[in-house]
This record gives sequence, structure tokens and C-alpha cells, in this order.
Amino acid sequence: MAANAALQRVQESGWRRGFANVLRKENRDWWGTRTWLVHSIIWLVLINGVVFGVLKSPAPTEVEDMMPAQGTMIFVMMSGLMAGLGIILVMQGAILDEKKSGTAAWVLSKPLSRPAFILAKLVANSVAALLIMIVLQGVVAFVQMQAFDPAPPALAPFLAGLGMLALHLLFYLTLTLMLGTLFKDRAAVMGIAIGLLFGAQFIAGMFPALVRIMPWWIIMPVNENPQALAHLVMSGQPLPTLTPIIGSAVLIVVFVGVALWRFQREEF
Amino acid sequence: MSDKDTLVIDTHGLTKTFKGVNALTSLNLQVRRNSIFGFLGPNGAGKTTTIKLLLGLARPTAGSGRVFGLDIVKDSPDIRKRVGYLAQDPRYYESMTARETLRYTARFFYSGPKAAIEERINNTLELVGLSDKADRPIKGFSGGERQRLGIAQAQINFPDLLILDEPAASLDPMGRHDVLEVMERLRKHTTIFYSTHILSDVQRVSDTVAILNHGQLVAQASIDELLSGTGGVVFRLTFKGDVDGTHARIANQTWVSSITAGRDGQGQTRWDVAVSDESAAEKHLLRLVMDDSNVIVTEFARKKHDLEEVFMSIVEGDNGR
Repeated sequence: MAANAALQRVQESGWRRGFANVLRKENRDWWGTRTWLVHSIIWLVLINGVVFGVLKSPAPTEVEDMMPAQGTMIFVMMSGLMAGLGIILVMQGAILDEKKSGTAAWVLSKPLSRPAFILAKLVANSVAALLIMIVLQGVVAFVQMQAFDPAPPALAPFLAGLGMLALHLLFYLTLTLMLGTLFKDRAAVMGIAIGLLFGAQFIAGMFPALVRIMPWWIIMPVNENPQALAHLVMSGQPLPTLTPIIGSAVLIVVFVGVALWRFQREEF
Repeated sequence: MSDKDTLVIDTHGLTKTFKGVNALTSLNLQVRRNSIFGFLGPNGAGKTTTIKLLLGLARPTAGSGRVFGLDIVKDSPDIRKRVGYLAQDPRYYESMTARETLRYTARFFYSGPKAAIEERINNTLELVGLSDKADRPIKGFSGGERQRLGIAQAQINFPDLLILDEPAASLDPMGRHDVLEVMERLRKHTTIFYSTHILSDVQRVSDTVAILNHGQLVAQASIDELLSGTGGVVFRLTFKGDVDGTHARIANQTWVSSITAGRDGQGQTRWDVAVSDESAAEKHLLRLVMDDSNVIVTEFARKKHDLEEVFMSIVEGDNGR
């Protein structure tokens, strides 16, 4: 069909074909609507609301002496669990809903590569979740701790700990993304991801070796390890091991790889 | 011009199996440029599977296919650059408006300039009669409006091939009429490959037809060839009076293959005369009948089959095998 000569053809090729367009749409879903505001408020209440409550509640003197930097500990655990849950809820439908509703088949009938579809979702959701669930919460928590915590963290260690929380969040984000490509059933996607998040103590008890490669220890004490790694970093203490960090980073890459591989073989 | 140049779709032995069940078996399909190609078949015949294979939404189990000479597996994104597709049950992002949906679609093909893209969107909305609803969210759209939007998004990129899966299935007669009109308008610029159940629509707009049954191609021909039937040329005669003598005289002609006698609704005698020599029949058949003064001919015409009749006879014949 004779095209309008003024129109310029998209030049993307290979795996990038259609990436910019899907990324624009995904970003618009976050930032062009009230989604960012709703999420900001929810996670402020659930994460920093709890931190505030703990910091402002009077603790018995003997307990206070035993638990320095209580604010960072609570922030790390609440941020890990709540943001982890939040990103599972956000991501569980990212692929699954599109597969089920038929919108994935529709966009993939256009010149869009399958890796571009997955990666655009990964990038847009990662950026939004990190900004809203980690950076914004971190800024508010840091300010609160400077104001109310008797032993507030220094900025550099706090940022390093925040980086570890970001890694933890990305682990569950990519895990849920991958599960969305593997399963057709929402219960399987949610069940596995939430099970790994909240069943950490139980699974770690059964398979202690997993503590070395899973991100659980980053946000909470696991088995005989009394303090979360991110909490140790934020309070300026040395890390007993780096393996959960390296393991989580490797698993994130594996999850993305599996998601790309599986989605390439998906039939609509 | 070689076949390679004129064929838009060309499949060889295209096969798709789902969990051991053959959805499509060794399909050899040729669609010529600028044709309106009707792809017919009962439910579950494999029409949608074929379309999904052509678009790279599913992978063939065996065989090969080319669209614009490009391989449907290896070159799928390059094929989709030149194709417009309307799904059987089109789904879009419900929160988007029609204009936003078209803008999103257009951005897969065009990077700019913005004004030219918006002009294209406006023209397309006008073509399908959705200009006044362009800025309403799709979730409030009726089935007909969704179908129009489907056609709009399918041809926003000036496609060289338009693939429509049951484009008029969910529409009322007015909606169907509109869709067929849009298809007829587009035929000047593009090849249209569409699947449907609605045989009268096919008869109205298609120039070539393929019939699929149980995943197998059972017929592919121009609409005229198909409507003239598979049993050769047949002339239909309806008349009043005593025809015994005439019957013997006609049956003795060397160019007459058979005479099927019956009665019409008004009790008149009706013959379907199958002939082997069309020009001899045109020259002599009516004259031979009228030589008998006891016979009054009320109707004489070359029998044109109804597509529904042809379709049913092909599909039922295939089912009976």
C-alpha cells in the first residue's frame, strides 16, 4: 500500500525492534497515570509508617541498650518484605495478564521482537519500583532516622545498604517476570514468589545451603545468622560473607535469561 | 512476472500439531498479489492456526511458508512490518482510547514526524467512522466499534498484506456492510487474506477462495471456478408440458453428459443438464427443447452454484471420505 512519504520508518532492528515503543507505553502506565502516586503512598505507609512507629515508641532502657540502630533494622526488614511483596503484586500480571487477555498476541503481531517486549517491561518496572519502593522510601527513612534514631546511620553505608535492598527487590521482580513466562496460572506465579519471600525461614531451615545464594539474609536474620546483611552494612559493620549478594545477582541474570528464552518459544 | 513475484503468501507442506493432534496438515497455499482471498472452513478447520503461523505467533511443526518471499519463522518481524492483522477476537489495552491505541500501533512502524503520524491516525479514524469516539476509552466500545478499531489498527501502516480473521463475525448486518465496504475500498492498494464463516460475504467481495476442513486444504480456486461447480458446466431448464420425447432427444446428444430431473416449487419440470461441450450446448440445447411444441420453456440459464452449496458439498464430501 502506498505510504505517506512524510512518515519516517522506525529504524530499530534485531532484538531492539519495538523496544522504545513498549518502554514508552510501560513508563506511561507508571508515570502518566496516578499509579506512581498510589504506590508511593502505600509503601510510605507500610514501610516508613512502621519505621516511624518504632522510632517514636519508647523502648525499655535495657532493650534499647541491646538493640542499637533499631531504625535501620526495621527499615531493612520492612522494606525487604513489603517492597518484595509489592513488586510481586505488580509483576504477577505483567506477562500473564497480557498472555491471557490477548494483548501480547496483538502487539506481537506488529514488528516487535519478543526480547524487546520482555526487556521493556523489565526496564520500566525496575526503574519505577526502585525509585518508588527503594529510593523514595530510603530518603524518607534516612531523614526519619536522622531525626529520631539515637544511632542514625551515616550516608555512605546507608546508600550501600540501600543498594542491597535494590538487589533484593530486583530478585523478586525478575523471579516474578520469569514465572509469568513459565506459567499460565496466576496462583502458581504468586504462590512460588510469595512462598520464597515469606517462607524464607522455613525453607532456610530445611535447606541451610540456600542461605548462601538466596537473597533472604540480605533483609533478615536467617538460621544462626543474627543480623541482616543490609542492616550490618547500614550500621557500618563488616559483612561476614558476600555470597548471598553474588548469588542473588547471578540468579537475577538467570531469571532474565530464562524469561527471554521461554517467551521466545511462547505460542499465541 | 514470475510466480515468486506475484505470490504474497506461499506455503509448502505447512503443518502444525498440538499435543499430537494435527491442527493443520501439509497446507499448500498460494495467495496472489492484490487479490481478496477468502479463507473458509468450519470451526476448528485450522484457519486461525494458519494465520498465526503466517504471523510468527506460532511455529510450524513441519513444512515452510513464505510471505513476500520471506521465511515465516526466520524473518517474522520483517514480514510483520508489511502486514496488518485483525484478530478474531481483538484485544487492546482497555484504558487506552482509540486514538492512543492507533498511536501506539503506529509507533511500531513510524518514528515521526509527529504531525504526519497524527494525520495518519485522523485519516484512519475517519476511514472506519470512529472520529467522534476517538478519545473515549476502549472499555466502553461496542463489538462493532472494536471491530472498526481493529481494522483501523490493522491498516495504519499502509500494509501490503491485510490479514483479517473473521472480520465480520461479531457484527450486525450494518456493521458487516461497513466492513465489506472498507475491504473493497482497500483492495486497490493491498492484498487481503481473510477467514470467515459468512459465505455470502465471500461471494460478494472475494476473487479467490480456499476451503479448509479438518486442517487440510480441500479446495482452492477463483470464485468463478468454484461457483461454476466441480462437475463441469450445467444448464438449468424449467418448463411446462409433456417432456418425455424431448428427454430422449436431448439425452442422445453426444455433448450431454447427464440429465437430472426434478420439480420446482410450482410443480414445473426442472432439468439440470450437464454438458461436456459448452458452446454446443449454448447453440443447440434450447433449440432442441423448443422444437417440441408441447413444451413451454419458462427458464433457461447456465447454472451458477451458490457458494454455500459448493462449500457444503466440498466439506460434506470430504467428511464422508
